[in-house]
Amino acid sequence: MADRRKESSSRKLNGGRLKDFLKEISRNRYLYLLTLPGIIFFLIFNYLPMAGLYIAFVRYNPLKPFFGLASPFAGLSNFAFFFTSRNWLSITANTLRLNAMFIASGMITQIILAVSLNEMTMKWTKKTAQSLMFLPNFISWTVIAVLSTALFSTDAGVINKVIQAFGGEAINFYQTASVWPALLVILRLWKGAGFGTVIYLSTISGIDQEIYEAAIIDGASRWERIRRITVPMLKSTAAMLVIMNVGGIFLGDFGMIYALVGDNPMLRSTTDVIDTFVYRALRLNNDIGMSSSVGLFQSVLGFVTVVSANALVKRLDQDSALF
Amino acid sequence: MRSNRLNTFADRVLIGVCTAICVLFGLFCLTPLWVALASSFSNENALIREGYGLWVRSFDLTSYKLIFSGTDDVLNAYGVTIASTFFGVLATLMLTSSFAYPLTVSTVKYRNKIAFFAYATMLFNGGLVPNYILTTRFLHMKNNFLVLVIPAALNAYNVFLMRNYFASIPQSLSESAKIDGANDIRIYASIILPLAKPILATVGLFAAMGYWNEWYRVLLYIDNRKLFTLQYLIMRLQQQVDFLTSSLNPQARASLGPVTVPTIGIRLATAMISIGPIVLLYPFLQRYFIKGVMIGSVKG
Repeated sequence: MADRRKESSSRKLNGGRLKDFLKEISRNRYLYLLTLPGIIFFLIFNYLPMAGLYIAFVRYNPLKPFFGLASPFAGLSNFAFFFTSRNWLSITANTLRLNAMFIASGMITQIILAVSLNEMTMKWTKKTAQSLMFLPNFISWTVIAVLSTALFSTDAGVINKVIQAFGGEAINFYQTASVWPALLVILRLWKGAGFGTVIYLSTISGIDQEIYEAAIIDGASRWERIRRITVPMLKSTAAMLVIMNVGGIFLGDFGMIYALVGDNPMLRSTTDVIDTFVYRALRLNNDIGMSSSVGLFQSVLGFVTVVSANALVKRLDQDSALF
Repeated sequence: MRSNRLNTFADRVLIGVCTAICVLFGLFCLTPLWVALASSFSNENALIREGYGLWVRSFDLTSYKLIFSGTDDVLNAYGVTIASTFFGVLATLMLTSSFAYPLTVSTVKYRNKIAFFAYATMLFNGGLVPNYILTTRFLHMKNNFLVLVIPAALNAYNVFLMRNYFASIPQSLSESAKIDGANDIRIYASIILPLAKPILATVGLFAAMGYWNEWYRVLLYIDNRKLFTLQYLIMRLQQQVDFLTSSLNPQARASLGPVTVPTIGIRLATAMISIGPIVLLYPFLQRYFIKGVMIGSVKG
């Protein structure tokens, strides 16, 4: 035992670090063993695809070795092709515009709902309303697509029935691109508003009751209490949520758009986002060069926005930062 | 809590407005589900003639009969969905908890390095194309049930949720077990996991929702009808209204007689049975979900 220790200290100068490493691994071998499946998982499913982004720089040929990665180097030609097409501006603009609309409408609706729920005095009604708001969060976009047909279809849809009952003219929703940003916002609120409301409501319930009591003694009405206490107290939560959402502003919601709109070319001008574009380029047109370069463009922008959003959050509130 | 006698008229109006906002939003959330439910029990021709509405139009169970006994596709998809949800949640909990626990043990020297290794995956990802090539050409998981289970089983977000919970369990518990001669795997399995039931339930529930509603990976990686999930089936029915019509068996066709196949009804009925378990379990699970949202929002 003593000999061994002497040996290890004498070797510290050359192979010491490796030895320390092995020693640490063997001392906590069971714990490292526990992390091993996860490490392998992240390596395969997260790190290998990052390396695979190299595909964006080759003229992809699936028959070449290394799963096509050994295809001839193409420099930036894939990117040139994408950026000289008019598509890149419209899909980037659509992605940003839709996400900005989702973030703004979500924040306003969630705050209004959370404040309103908090003011409600009828307990049972409050509980039921909250349950109903939170339920759509668990319903998938594919089912929502079925529901929206029931609402928006031209001949039998509820909305057109109502419009016609008032003497208006039916709107052909599935062929009118201009109405879809608004429809997507409404459907997004339908599905997602309850989730954010829960977060704001928990912030409200964390506000010190003494502040309200003091305000009551000073004669503040309910409206004044909302305006001067509750809403200002929600500011930091709102800032955090908005910043975090802005971090993902370049990620289009593929599940939502594809389920609701599908490959419908009539609606593409307002609903086509980066993710649906990449999917189409890959699966329908089999254009690996185009889709991988767009994907890399998005990953890089996503990285920049996430890191800056996090830096901003960290500056505002150390504990709320993601990392 | 706040005494009512201080409520002025303006206060009561405010409470009324707030109540109205919440009730209306609640109804707004309920209505589409209700319309679809009512329509799924309606006769197809009446539905087309009179339009969707709040009430059942000529009660008719043909669609439900057809999806349960006219074709194998729906029951089969139900089976795939249940199996992938079960194994998916199991894989998620095992992978996530075993990876997260060592990150909380202070004697593990490389725990921060390993944590960063996981963090980095939240910052940058390869995107669709490299993932597609990895899954189809390197892992050969195309048309393989495992593609519905494995790739979604571990993510850094869940790891940090669990790590934070594990970190709140006093280390003295595991230290005394260690003195009694238990090794780390035993401590993890028989001390830590039983104490971590609340976080396991929360992560498991959200994972279950994800697996139950999965269709994206089916769209990308599955062509074999036998491996379709319910949600994917619904999506196909939505985009291709007669998708199931071709798979109806001869008896079901014959029993319909001169009536055309209710394609809209089939789509609605399939959607309803896919959300049935969620809606039925929701009242019992709601508070766990709400707890989960709050844990996630406090620290990601």
